Amino acid sequence: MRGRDDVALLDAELEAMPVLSERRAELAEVFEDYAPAVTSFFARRGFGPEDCRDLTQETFLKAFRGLPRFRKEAELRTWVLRIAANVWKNALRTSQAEKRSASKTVSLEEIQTLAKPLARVAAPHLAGRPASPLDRVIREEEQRMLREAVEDLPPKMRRCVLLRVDRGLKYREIATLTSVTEDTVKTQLYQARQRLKDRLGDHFHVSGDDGEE
Amino acid sequence: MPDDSRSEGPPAPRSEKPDLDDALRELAEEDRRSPGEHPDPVALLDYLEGRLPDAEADRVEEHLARCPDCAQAVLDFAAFPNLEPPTEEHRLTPADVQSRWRELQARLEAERRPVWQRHQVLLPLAAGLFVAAVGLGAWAGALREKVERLEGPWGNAYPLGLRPESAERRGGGVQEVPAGVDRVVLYLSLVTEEREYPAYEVDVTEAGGRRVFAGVPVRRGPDGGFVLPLPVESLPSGETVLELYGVEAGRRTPLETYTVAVREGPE
Repeated sequence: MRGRDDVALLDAELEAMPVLSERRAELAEVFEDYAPAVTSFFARRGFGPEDCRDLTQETFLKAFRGLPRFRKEAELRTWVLRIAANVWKNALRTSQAEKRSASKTVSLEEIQTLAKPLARVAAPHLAGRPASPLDRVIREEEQRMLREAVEDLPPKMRRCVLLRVDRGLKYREIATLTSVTEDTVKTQLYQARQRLKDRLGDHFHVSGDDGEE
Repeated sequence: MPDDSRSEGPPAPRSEKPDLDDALRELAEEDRRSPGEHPDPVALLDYLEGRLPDAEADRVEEHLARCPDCAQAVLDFAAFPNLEPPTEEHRLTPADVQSRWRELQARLEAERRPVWQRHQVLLPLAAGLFVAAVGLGAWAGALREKVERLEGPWGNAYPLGLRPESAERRGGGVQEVPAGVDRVVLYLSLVTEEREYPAYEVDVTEAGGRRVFAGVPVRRGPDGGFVLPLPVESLPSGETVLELYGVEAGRRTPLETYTVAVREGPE
C-alpha cells in the first residue's frame, strides 16, 4: 500500500532498504549509542528499572520496525526521541487507565503538605508565634499585591521570573523552555526585577541582582 | 520611608520586610498545585522543536513555568542523548547494553520469520482461527450493511470495526483489506458512555508521530459509534493511531484512541 508522499517513502525507496540481517551492525551501533540515554530518559520520568527496560526495548523495536519510513534527511536522534515520546505517552495512558480503576486515597502527609501555610515566608519575623489578626491582614494584603504585580508582568517575563526564582534554573535552561536566547532571558529578568522593585520595594526586600549563573 | 500605617490603602511597610524571592517561591508553590492539564509528551517535543501553532506553544510555555516535571522533560529532550540516569540502579553497563541488544535482535528476527515458524502451537490454533474467520466474515458483512445504512453507498469500500484502547479487547491489530479496494470505512465503537457533543473529530497519526489528517469531522450513528471513510492510499503503511475528540465551542476533548494497521491482502 502506498501512502502519501509526506508520510511514506516511495516503493522504490522501500525496495532499496537493506534487510535487517544486512543492517545488523548499523542497528547495533544505533542501539549502543542511544539505549543508555533512552533508559535514563524513562528513569528520569520516574519509571522503575524493569519498566525502563521494557519501555526502552519497545522504543527500539518501533524505531527499527519503522526504519523503512525513516527519512534520511531527518536526524536519527530526533527519530529515536520522537518514538520514545510516543512510547512514554502510551505508558502514561496505560497508567492513567489503571489509576482510574483504583480508588484514590490521600494520606495525612499529603493533606498537611497541601495545607502548608502560604504566607509563612512573607512574615519571617512572626515565625514561632501565633499571628495576630492584624498580622494576618497585612500578610494577605502583601500576597495580593505581589500576585497582582507578577500577573501584570508580560507573560514571557513572568515565566522567566518563575523559572529562575522558583526553580533556580540556569539562563540556558530558561532559554530552552521559553524559546528565546540567553541574552533575552537576562534582559527579561533584569527588567522584571526593576519593575517589581519599583512597585513592591516599600513592602518587600528586593535583592540587587539576579545571582550568579 | 513614610509611616502611613494609619491611613487607608496598602499596608504599612514593616521594619523587617519579607524577601521578594522567598515570597515569589511561595506564590509559585501555590501555582504548582494547579498546573492545569499536562500536555502530552509528543506535544512537549513538538514545542521544543517549534512545531506547535503559536497559541498552543503559548499554552505549553505557560504550563512549563508552573510544572517542574514537564519542564524537566523538555530539558531532557533538549539534552538527549546526554542524559545521566537518576540512580546507579538505572545505569546500563556495556554488558547490559549487549545483552539487551541480543534480546532485541532476537525479537526483530522472530518478527521476520514466517508466522508458522515462530511458535510451535500454531497448528492447533489454526483450526480455531478458521472458525473465528468464518464468524468474522459474517460480522464484517453485517457491519458493511450497518455502515451503508448509516452513510449510504461507498462504492468500492471495505468496512473495518475498531475497538478503543480502553476496551478490554482493544484495537484492530493488523487488518487486511482486499486488493483493489478504494477506501476503508472505519467503524469506531465507544465502550464507555460519554456525554454528547455538538460535533466530533478524528486525528489520524502514524505510530511514529507524524500527523496524516487532523480534525476530520465524523458523525455519530444511532448506535453510538462513528463512521470514518478514508482512502486506502492515504493510510500509512505501518501502525495508525486514531484519536477521537468531542468538539464544543471550539474546544476539543479527547474521548478515545484506536490503533490499527491496515495492509493489502489478496483480492
